[in-house]
Amino acid sequence: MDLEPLLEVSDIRKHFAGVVALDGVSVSVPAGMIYGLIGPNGSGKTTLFNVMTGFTRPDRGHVVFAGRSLDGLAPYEIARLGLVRTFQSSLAPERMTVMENMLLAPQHQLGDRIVNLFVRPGDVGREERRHLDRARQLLEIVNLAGKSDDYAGSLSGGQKKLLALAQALMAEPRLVLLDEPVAGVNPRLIKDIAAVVQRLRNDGQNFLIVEHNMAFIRMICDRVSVLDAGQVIAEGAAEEVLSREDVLHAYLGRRRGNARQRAAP
Amino acid sequence: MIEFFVYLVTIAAIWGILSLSLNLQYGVAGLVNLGHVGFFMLGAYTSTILVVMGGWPIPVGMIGGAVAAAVFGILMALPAANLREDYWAISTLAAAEIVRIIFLNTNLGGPYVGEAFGVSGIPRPLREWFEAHGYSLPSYNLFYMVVVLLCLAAAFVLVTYLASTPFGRSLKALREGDEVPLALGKPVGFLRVRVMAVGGALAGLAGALFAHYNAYIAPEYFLPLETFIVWAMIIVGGPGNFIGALAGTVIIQILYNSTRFIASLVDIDAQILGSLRMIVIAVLIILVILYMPQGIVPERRRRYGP
Amino acid sequence: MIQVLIDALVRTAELSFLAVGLTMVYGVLRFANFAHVEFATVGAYLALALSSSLGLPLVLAAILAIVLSGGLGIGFDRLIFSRLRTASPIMLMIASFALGIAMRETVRAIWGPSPFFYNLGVLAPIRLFGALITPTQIAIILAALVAMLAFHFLLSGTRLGIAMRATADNATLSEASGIPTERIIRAVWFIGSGFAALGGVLVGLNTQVKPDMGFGLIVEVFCAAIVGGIGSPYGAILGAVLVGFAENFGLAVDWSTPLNAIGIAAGPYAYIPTGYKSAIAFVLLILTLLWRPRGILGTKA
Repeated sequence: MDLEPLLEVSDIRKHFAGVVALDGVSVSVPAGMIYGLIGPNGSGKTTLFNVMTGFTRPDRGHVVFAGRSLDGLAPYEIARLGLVRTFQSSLAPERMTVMENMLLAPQHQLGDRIVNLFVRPGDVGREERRHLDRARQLLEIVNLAGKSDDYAGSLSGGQKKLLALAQALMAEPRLVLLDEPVAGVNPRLIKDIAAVVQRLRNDGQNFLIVEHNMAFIRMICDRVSVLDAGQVIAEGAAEEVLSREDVLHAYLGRRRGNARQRAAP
Repeated sequence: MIEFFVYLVTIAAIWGILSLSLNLQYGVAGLVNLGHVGFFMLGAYTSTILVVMGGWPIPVGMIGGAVAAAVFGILMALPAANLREDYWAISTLAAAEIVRIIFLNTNLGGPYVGEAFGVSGIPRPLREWFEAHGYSLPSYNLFYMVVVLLCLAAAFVLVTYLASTPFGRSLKALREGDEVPLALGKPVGFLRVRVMAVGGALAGLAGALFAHYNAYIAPEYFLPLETFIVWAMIIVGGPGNFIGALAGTVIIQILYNSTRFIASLVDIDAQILGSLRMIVIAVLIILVILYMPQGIVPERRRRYGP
Repeated sequence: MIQVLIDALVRTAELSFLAVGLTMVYGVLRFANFAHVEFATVGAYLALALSSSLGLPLVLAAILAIVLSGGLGIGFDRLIFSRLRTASPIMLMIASFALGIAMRETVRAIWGPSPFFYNLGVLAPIRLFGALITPTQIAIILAALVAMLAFHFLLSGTRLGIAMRATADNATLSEASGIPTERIIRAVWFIGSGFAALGGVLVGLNTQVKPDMGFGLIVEVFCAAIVGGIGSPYGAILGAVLVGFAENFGLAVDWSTPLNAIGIAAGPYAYIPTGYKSAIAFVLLILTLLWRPRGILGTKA
């Protein structure tokens, strides 16, 4: 953890129609762990996520990934650099099968270029078969192997989340960003998802997770940053941060509908 | 009777190529192209200009038509590639209309019949050869029909192949939203441009085939109504699958042409008949959208097995 | 120049009737209604038929035609669009395109393709600041002013109008707040189609009545609605002004001076040929879609 951070955002500011969503947020995500970005609803987590992945342009601030600046890049360019995200409302194309969704994901496929389709069909076919094998492996890990020829639209909510995770992994990203991976998922499946993510981390996959489900965060995150009302109010080892007064206060205070409270810095 | 049948099949095959190309754009990639007739028109006119004015051989003209239409597709798509779907649709309509207005008002020099750039006397491929060897017109038409059918078959193979490739897969993902493809590293805008180019090229080829068959073209052959008829074909047949597109072509063509027979049975003015024809097709489309939106032939999924 | 101004005003007036209705339907139902312009055609023909075959005075015939067209709008919504409330905007667009064709061809089948002209006798044009303006054109401009003012009053001063704006802004929220969305939708169809019909009647009076009269305006109307800001009625009016003026002044202006100034050899004079009149609207439309798709007064996405 003394290495250069894998993903670093500095002093991000973003407002929407007069409402300040992010007010000078800086987060530093090291490699080799599961990093959590947590906070109550409305704290700006999703906006920050969107800024990191290029889906939203910040008013101010910078994003650096593995030493490269991501400022101004389009989302697909960022994805190509190895930063792949999922979406909170599982958006995997529903009219495509699970396997098709998986085969969609790998980057820099020969078959993406029309020229190759005609000039090197054999190579394209070989690459397809390799991807097919890898997809089958990943589907095994997330327990969706039996559904590989089903339409993605026919999966349950939890299964869609798992598909999104597997799909992101097919793209062989350096850092996977999971957007509320267990929101609306039934508790039993949450444990399974946690197990999968931990196993993948142990195999060397880096994760950045946005969640507001504290239990899940406690289960798997190594380090966390806590966001509240557009600002980072705490950062550090998960165990320690999650037992802090002010962090709990931010969550509980929100649930009781109190006015937003900010911990003294 | 056979004559008429040959004519029907030839025209249907040309429409078939049009619906295959539109289906690639809409059914596979989810792009609403309301200006498809623009590609058709460009293909027809380019080939005509190259052959009649430039003196190039017909195959060159046809390829030129396809290329011109492809370029138009690229030009149309490049600036609009990231627009929301309904804005995109309207800009395609506008682009095609501009093309039509240009051809309506220009007359690129030369002695042509009709003020609005109508061109007659378009040569038909190998016509002289047939005449010289004593073959009659009907057998020539049969030959041309076979040519067009071969082109249709080739187009079918092409689009089906494309749809089954990784490229096609990216397109299919595109039709349900930009987010996932973007997050997976697909250059959404460029994909759209490529699809418009390929679809455009096919439609342009259809246009060239039409020009050299009809021997006369004029802007009135290329009204937005034509785009609508192609849409009717793919909606009725089932968007997203090419067999459906061809099925839809056949059905709409039958509807369209059967009204001719009605004319001989019942005494209706031809003008009204033409309108009735369109009304029937329009109502059919509305009914299909309301009650059978997936069309007659549903899309088949590709199975990879365990 | 005054003549050009008058022509521009007339055009603006004509377009505003159609653009406002189009943008209203878009605001509430979120799709581009390609059948909208056909209500102008239908309205014009109905008014003509009522006045010539039933001998009704023109004003009465026009009012009846407007009401009937409004009702027709509601009818089509009930029949077709209400069943597609959850369909994708594309399907709605295509369905509306099909409906438009059906309406247009029905008109053509019933009344034939030849244009009709109102038999109003010889109405001498009035001379105004050196230009000519017919009484009909004056009526058009006045009617548009009155109609837009009335519409503005409706939107800002009446419960219906406020409810309409709320529904256009956020349909789910409005429904949750107790606004009867379906009733609002019906009102929007009635008013939108009625306005279009009024526009059609006036255009018919000014020029002619023919089956393609509505469809011939479709690009200008869409352009006005989009440039002004789709979903915003005030935007539609603004858009109508822009398109009306751009078209007429664009044709009237001698472009040789600016063209020569930037180095394009344009000779002693360079006018845009009349045939390209609608192309001006197209170009405006494309430019708007490229640079600011939500238009001038449009909101979010």
